[in-house]
Parts: sequence; structure tokens; C-alpha cells
Amino acid sequence: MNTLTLLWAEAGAEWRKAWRQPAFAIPTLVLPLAFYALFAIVLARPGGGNAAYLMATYGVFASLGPALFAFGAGIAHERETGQLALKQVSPLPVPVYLGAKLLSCLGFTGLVVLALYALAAWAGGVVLPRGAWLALAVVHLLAAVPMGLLGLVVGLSFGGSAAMGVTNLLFLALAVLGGLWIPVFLFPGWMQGFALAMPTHHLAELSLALTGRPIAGSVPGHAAVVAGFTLAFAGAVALAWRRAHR
Amino acid sequence: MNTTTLGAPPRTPRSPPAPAAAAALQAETAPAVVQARGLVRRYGAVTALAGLDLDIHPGRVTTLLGPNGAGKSTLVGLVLGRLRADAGTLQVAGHAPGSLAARRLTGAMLQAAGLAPQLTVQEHVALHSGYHPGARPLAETLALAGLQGLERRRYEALSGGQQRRVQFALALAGRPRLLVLDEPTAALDAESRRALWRTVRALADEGSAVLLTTHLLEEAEALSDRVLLLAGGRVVADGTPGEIRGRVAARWVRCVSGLPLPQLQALPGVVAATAEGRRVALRTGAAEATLRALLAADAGVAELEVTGTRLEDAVLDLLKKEAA
Repeated sequence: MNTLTLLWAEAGAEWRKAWRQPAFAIPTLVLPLAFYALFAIVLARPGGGNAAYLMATYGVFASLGPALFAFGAGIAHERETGQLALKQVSPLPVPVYLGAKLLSCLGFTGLVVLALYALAAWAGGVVLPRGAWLALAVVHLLAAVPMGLLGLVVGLSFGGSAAMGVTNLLFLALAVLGGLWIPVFLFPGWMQGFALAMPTHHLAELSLALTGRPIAGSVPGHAAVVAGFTLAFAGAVALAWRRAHR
Repeated sequence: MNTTTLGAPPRTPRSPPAPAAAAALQAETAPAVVQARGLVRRYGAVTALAGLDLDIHPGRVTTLLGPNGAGKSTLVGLVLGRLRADAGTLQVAGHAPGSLAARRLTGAMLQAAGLAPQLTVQEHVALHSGYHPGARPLAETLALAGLQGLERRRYEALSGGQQRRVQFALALAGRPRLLVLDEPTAALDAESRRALWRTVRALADEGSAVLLTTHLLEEAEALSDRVLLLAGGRVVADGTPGEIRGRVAARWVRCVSGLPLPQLQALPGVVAATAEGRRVALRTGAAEATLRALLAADAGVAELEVTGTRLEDAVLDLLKKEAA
């Protein structure tokens, strides 16, 4: 089997593993959609423009669940139960193992994001040019990459139950402080500073720019910060992998 | 190194002739799959392996026998590249242990391993077979591991012994040149254990080099061509299963006898003899032969008692003898 076929087979197995674990799959899929339906559609004032704003930020939120829980808590669990050890002694190249997890993660994110767009367009009345939808989808999907890497650092650095705790904390911090649930401009000044330290905030700003909103800072600036976070997390993964392996 | 070598291990005459002979021939000529020289591994102040030399040949089952803490799993960890040696050299078919090239040639069953509970037996075996170039057909692997009829069962719905058999299937799926089995039969019932032994024997006859660890003398005897007795991170004995049994599966014969010590030591099967006055203790690898000769030589034997020894005792015994 060549590497690509192997990657596909491994990603398929990851995907099935996730689907057959409803305790993971259902909250991951349903939570962002339910929150969006509540805050952007049910509780929205007509003509307030909330539906488009929150679609941009909830699209980033959609990537958090699969990335942090599948990677963070998931890998910690696989380490504790000896599943990772078996993979490590098998001739499965490490990049394929990690790549398959990332692919499955992207798949989940893609599902949620598509459902979110459908909800926003039909029930929220959001209208965007076709190119903007596409660009938005790219940002929302790619958001899973830095988030997945961050989850991986947690999963490789903590044991099962500790990883779960840390993951939950990160999940909340990235969602709330990053301004995914409540716009950052509604925060008191001292809290707005925290937002700048959250990669989710910069991803949200990029998404908002694509929906035609004026944003603080420039698109290349936010993109550069996101790329910086991604590189830093990737470096941390390499370190954590080496430490966990030996 | 302070090993007690009992000579080159000849092949046991247990296996069917034709393929076994071919494998034996190959074993004599083919280079060792695993070559270890002077391996040292420490955990803090504890030395788990203290300068170990080891060759594992194709077509043979090499067994590491020893009590818990002897260094068996440490050696397995080093061979699989999960641990690094503090000193010494180790090669798997010329590759660094743990490298992708070495892992492609290796199938392993770990002592504490798990598999994703949500996937089925067939999914696990198919996925793992895909990792190895030249893997066996799925049906063959399932049959060798005794998993027919369980293909569609999820891993979480299997019994402990069945789960162990799935792990065994993954180890043999890739037609490995080196098969590493770390305490493979720990959770198995007697029947599955024997089935696994038969398969391991067949894989060795196919040409695989098998490295097995166990703390069961019976398992070492049923399977091995060569047994290394490990204790305290060193090889304390190295020989055929029969030779090792002679040294560790000994029985104590205690009695009151008038025979002089040299004559007692010369009795058949006796490996050690001590006497306090007329009260003597003989350690023997063949209790029946020893008794027959003893009773024939001394009509006045009294208070005769025969007891077994545990593997742990036998190992301690060997260590003491070495130190003396």
C-alpha cells in the first residue's frame, strides 16, 4: 500500500472510531449548531445582522470540538490504554498516524460548518457572494489545523483525566475569550487584551472580514498571527512527541 | 560477561521433518535477525539489563525465561525501539531498532496493549495488514490466530482471551521476519494457549525468528529451540529447553543416607548435593532416576522426601552458585 492509500485507510478508521462513539460525535456536531440556532436565530432581533456575524465566529467554534477532543483527550486516552504503543511499534509512519487524525478532524469540522451555513442561509437569511462562502469555508476548515495541533500537545503531555480537564478549560477559554460566543467589542477593556492572545480571535476576525465586516487590524496581520500560532503549536507537538515516545 | 553457556543449542526433534529441516538449515546459514552486544539499560539507580549479548536466528524460537523484574520486558522494549540502551549495540536485520525499516520486518505483541474498542476484528486486521508490504491475505491471518467467526465483532465485545488473539493476529499479519511476543499467553485459557503455541511453532518453521518472553517454564519447554534464563538483567543460563529444565525444574530429594557426598553427587540427574551429617539434600533434574539409583546404592535410606522447586528458587540458586 502506498502512503496515500494508507493515509486514507487510517483516516477512515479514525472516522469510524469517532462515529461509533456517540458521546463524542453528538456533542461535537450538535453543540455549535444548537448554540447558533439559539443566539443567532431564535433570540436575534430582526435586522440586527447577528446571523452573519455569529456564523463567522461559530464557524471557528465548530473546529474546536473535533480538534481539541479528538486530539487532546483522544490521544491521551490512546496512550493510557496502550493503543498508541501498538501503533508506534507497527510500521505506520508517524506523519500518517497524525495526518489521519487531522483528516478525520477536518471531516467533522466540514460537516458542522456546512450545516451551519445551511442554517444561516435558510433560517438566518444570510446572503453572501459565492466567492465569500468559499473563502469562509477555507478559513473555517483550516482553523482545525492549529486547533488540532494544540489538542495534540495536550494529549501528548497529560494523562487521560488531566488531559480532559485541560481540554475543557482550553475549549472554554478559546471560545469565550476569543469572542466566538460574544463579540469581543462587548467585553470590558481589560478582557479585550486576552482576546489578542487567542488564536481563535484572529481566526474569527479573518472570518468576519470575509463576510464584509470592518475589523480591527488587517487581514494579512491576523493571517500572520494565525500562521505564527500554527508554527508554534507544531514545534510544541514535535517536542511533546519525542518526550512521550521515549 | 558472566553467563553459563550450555553449548550450542541443537534443534529439538519436535517439529515435522521437511519444513523444519529446511528452516534449521536456514537457521545455521542465515545471519541473526537480532544482534545485541553488551546491552545496558538503567532506570535511575536500578540496572534492568547489565551487559547482555544475544543473537536471535531465523526459524527458531528464542525464549527469555525469568521471574518478574528479570529484564525481559526491558529487552523487548529495546528490540522494538521503545527504549534506548544506555550502552551496547543492537541491530534488527541490520537496521536501528524502532526505525521504519526495522518495524516493517517486525510483528509484535506487547504485554500491555490495547486496540480501539469501536472497531471490528476484521477492520483492525485489515488496517494493520495495510501497514506491511507483503502482508498475508486477511483470511489466512484470521485463521492462524483462530479468529474465524469473530470477524464482525467489535473489539470491545470480545473476551480478554479473544482480544489477545486479535493482538496476535496483528503481530503475524505482516509475515514478519522477527516476531516478538511479550508474555503472549497471559490472559489465555489452556486451549487457546496450546493453539497459539502451535501457530508460533508453525511461524518459526516458516522461517520467522521468534523472540518470546514468559515466566512459565511449561511454555518455554513447549515452544522453544533455545531458552535464555534471565535474572537481575543478566543471562544466567542459556541452552535447550531440556537443559534449562534440568537446571531450573529440579526437585529436592531429602533423606537420611549413609552414602558419602561424592557418591551422592555422582547419582544420575543430581545437579547439587549438600550434607549435614547423615541428613542430605539433593537437587535433581530427574527425580525418578536419582531415586532408583539412590535406593539401589543404599538400603538404609530413611525419611525420604521429594519436593518441587519454583522457578524463582531455581534462579536464585543459579545466581548463588555463580557467586560462590
